Amino acid sequence: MTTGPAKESGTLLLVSLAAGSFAVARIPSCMSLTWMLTTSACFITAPWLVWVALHTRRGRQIDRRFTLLLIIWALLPLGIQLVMRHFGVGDLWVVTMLITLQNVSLILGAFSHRPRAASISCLFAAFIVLFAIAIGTSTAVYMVAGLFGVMMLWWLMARYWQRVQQPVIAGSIDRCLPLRSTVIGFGVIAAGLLTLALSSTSASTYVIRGFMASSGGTPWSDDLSTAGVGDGDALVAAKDEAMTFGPVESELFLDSEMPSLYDMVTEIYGEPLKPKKRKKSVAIAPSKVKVTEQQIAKSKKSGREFSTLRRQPKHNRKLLEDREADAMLYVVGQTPLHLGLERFDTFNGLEWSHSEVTEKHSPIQIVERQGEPWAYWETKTETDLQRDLQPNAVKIINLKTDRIPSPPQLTAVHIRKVNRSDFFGWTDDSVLFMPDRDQIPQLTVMHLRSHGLNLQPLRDADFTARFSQTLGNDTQFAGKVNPTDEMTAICTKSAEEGELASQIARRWTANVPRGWQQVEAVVNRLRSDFQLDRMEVASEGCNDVVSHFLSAHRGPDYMFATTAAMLLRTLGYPTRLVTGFYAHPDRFDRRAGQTVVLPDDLHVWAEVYVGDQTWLSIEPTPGYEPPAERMGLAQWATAMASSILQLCRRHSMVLIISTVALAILFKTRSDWLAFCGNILCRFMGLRSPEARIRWTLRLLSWRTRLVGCRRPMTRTITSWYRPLMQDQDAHTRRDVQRFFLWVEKLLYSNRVFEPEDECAISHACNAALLVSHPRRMRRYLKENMIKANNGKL
Amino acid sequence: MSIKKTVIVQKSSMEHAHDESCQHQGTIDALRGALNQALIGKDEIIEMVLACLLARGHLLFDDLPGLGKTTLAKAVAHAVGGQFARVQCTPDLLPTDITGFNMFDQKTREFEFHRGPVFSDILLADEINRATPRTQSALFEAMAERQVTIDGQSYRLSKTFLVIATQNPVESHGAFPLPEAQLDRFAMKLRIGYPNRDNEIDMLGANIGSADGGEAENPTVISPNQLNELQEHVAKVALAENVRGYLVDLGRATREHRAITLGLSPRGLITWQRIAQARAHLCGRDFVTPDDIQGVAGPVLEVRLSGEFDAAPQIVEEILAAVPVPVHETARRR
Repeated sequence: MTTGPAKESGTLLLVSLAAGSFAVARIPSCMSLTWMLTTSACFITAPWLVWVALHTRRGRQIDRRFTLLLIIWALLPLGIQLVMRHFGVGDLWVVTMLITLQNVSLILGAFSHRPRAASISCLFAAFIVLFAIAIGTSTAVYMVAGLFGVMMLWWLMARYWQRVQQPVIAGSIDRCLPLRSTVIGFGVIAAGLLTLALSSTSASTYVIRGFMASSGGTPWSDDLSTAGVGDGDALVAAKDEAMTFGPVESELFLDSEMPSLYDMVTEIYGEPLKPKKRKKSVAIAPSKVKVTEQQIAKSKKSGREFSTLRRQPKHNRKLLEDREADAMLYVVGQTPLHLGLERFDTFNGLEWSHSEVTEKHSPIQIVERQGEPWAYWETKTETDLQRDLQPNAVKIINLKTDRIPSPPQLTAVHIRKVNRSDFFGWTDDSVLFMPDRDQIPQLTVMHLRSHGLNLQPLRDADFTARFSQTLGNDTQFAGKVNPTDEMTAICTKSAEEGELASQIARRWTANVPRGWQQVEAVVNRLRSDFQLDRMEVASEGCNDVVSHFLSAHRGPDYMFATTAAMLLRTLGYPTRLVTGFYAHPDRFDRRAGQTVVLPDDLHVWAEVYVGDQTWLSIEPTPGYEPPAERMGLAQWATAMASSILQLCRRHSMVLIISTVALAILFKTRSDWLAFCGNILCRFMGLRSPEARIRWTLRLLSWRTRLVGCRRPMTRTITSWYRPLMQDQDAHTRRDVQRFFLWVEKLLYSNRVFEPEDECAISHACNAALLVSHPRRMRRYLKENMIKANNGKL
Repeated sequence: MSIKKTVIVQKSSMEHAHDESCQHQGTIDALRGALNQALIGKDEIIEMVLACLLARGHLLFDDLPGLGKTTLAKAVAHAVGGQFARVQCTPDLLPTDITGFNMFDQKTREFEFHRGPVFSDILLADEINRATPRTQSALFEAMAERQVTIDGQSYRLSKTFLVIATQNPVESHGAFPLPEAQLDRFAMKLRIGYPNRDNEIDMLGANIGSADGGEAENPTVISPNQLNELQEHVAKVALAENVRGYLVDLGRATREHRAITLGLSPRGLITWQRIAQARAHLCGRDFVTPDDIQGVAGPVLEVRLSGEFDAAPQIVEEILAAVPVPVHETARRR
């Protein structure tokens, strides 16, 4: 036995084969074949090295490091994954989890001289092969799996013969958990609480959020996925064909009335309020009046201007929402999502309008990606701002427009079979549209790709320096900028009556470094101090909506957007107003895997120019999520830590009290568990003396489990509990002895149990409970336990 | 009414049994005391000897010379008060020297049977492994069936016939190891071992002043009839089904153990049960617990499981650690 563990390579060979089958199954779906094969080979080879090392002279030392090796090897794929994801390669989390399992299985296989390790290893290997068969499509997978099956059979036979040859496997009968039951219990409770705490929405009760990555539809979508779990791109692709499109069967198309964007804006925000032009006129007799039917032309835009002076929206008539066909469009992919449809750059204090100046855009070109034509254009956004690409798909249902609802930082669009760049174009207000057509056809599925953004570089430096130059030390223009091009000049122009706005903006951003932090300060102030109220509109006589809003502290979302834009303009940041839709995460339809966008989701927000033809969306309205910021690992960790810290600080009293209470409960667990046990035992023992004895014995057994000194199944009751009688007076000892005599009588005597003296039984049971207090058990049975373990080992 | 009656009857029978067991306990205590006096500080060995005595089993002492094997055997013989015979086994000992033989009487002109030492209550076969296998085999019938057959004539032996054999460890020179068939007829093998320091000091003290080497005449505390009665009582000690199952499982485990060439025979199993019954009786119980079975497992198995001299205790431990102890609760749950 001193030469090291017994040499047995079968298990490791078997597990290696399982890992191989998994690698083969992953070939079609992996992003980089070389990378995948290299890592797989490393993961499989290293355990063999461990195995070889185990059978050298230093094998004993390595065997002692088993736990350490297991942990390292299990966590390695996770660590590699975290690093590699930064470089855009890697695997899905699901696959990573399986690689972890595979590694655990491999390292256990290397330590297969431990009987339990060998069994668990093979179990995991079988699971991995099962998974490989499930995801694998090539025949190679089936062949490897078949080979695995044959080898597994051989392995089982070998195990059987090994077992038969072994003297008698000591301890093989003892089924006990490796950890103490208390630790497991506390762990399970903690995990349950954590799950409850993390998943606060009702949707999460369906499945634990983020447990399985998906290729779209949920916030847990994964860029690295090539096919999804139920709601992925593959499903969307299937729905590209109009014939297979889901809603066809619903009553949606029974109602053919499609609202125009103009109608919708009017319904949601109320009609624009035009100052009445009064003309003097003379009344004529009704009989002479000729009524002509007036037809309002449907408009593809919400209006030439966007007035911030509007009537209250009318709710007395049937709303769009009340109709049966309500969806404007469906969004597949991550939500919340801002989908812009129209932009306004000029504001006169009441109305937003388009200026004549148009933004320059790179030409649209068609690029083949994975066999599909993508309309693509160059963006000049700096690379340090850009993060990974975010896929989305938009399905037009009831929206009648030729403009493509586009998320911020849109970089590419794909409509199936549309492989000509002249199908796309830019409107004057920088929105992608489909020229020469009345509207985008219904049921068109548009795949969009947009950049996630990392805002940290913007926070660190003043971005206005990129496109402007300050006008010397002129005090009048201190803090203001002199825009270098026409476009930014227009967008920086504030309304004339902006004195109040200017003051407020400066007050809010005092002591905040210039740059994105000031933008955030203004937006956050609006989000926290102002209330969203769609009915609170400016009165008819109002000529400065911003001032009105700033004093009223409430208003509809366009007021928020306008105010944010104007405040930022007074600070010298170019801004513009965007109208469009807000895909609300609450409207996610889990079964269809898409988010429904209703007329009610019409929304107005603003954009800030940060240079290099990059406009970043800001969300000043409370209740709407700001566009998601893609953070780096360090940032993410900091943000996580700070939010946890904040949460702790906010609930500090509760946390402290509950921690202290838990600590006390944990510390005194022996006492209260013993107390509860005693009560239970007495209560259950009320039925009969026999029940009393049985329950006392059961309690004793529970307590041994609690303190981790459970009686091995091959030890007799009396011999196991005998040490408990130490340090007790003769009276108690006699009572305990009597208790065990009764126990034996109950268990092993053929005769009917006849209690001689119920009082004596009660005394004996009490004495047994007294000597078996968990603390005493821990003290006196430990030695027993060590002896039993030594015997086993 | 009938129910009440039976209760009363049961009670009276129980009281009777109680009195009887008290009486038995007194006898056993006296026996125990006598043996303890003969061999100081070996309580456990004496318990085993008592169990063997009550179970009508034959005893084999296996130890180095001078550790008190013969002393204990003689003490047992004297305490029981029956007829005691002793055979010193040597290589030239013949079977007839043990069983007895027919001799032609010149006067009566008839064959006259001369009884050998087996016609006694307790037979001490000293250094049994020095006798030839032929002579050892002469004891087969006597031990198993309590009768000897000479020239076609069977003779019954005493009801309380008990063989106490001693042997030196197998490694000693000039010894004939006992064959398995012979060993299986012994109930248990005991090793007395060296006494501890205090006990040795006491022993020396007891030896001072007695010219005959300290071997005082042991008192007789029990008659063969009383012993027989006790033995019959022991046979009635109850074994619940689960305990019997446990015993059988242990027996099967010995047959499956790799290190054992010849597992426990059914006769061995019966002997084990009887010894466990005796132990339960010694503990004052009228039923056997798994503790009793485990408690006597060592001596009972060691005599039967052929193997290396030192390996047996380890093997016994392994066997005990391979079979779960029956507990009613779990059995019911299943």
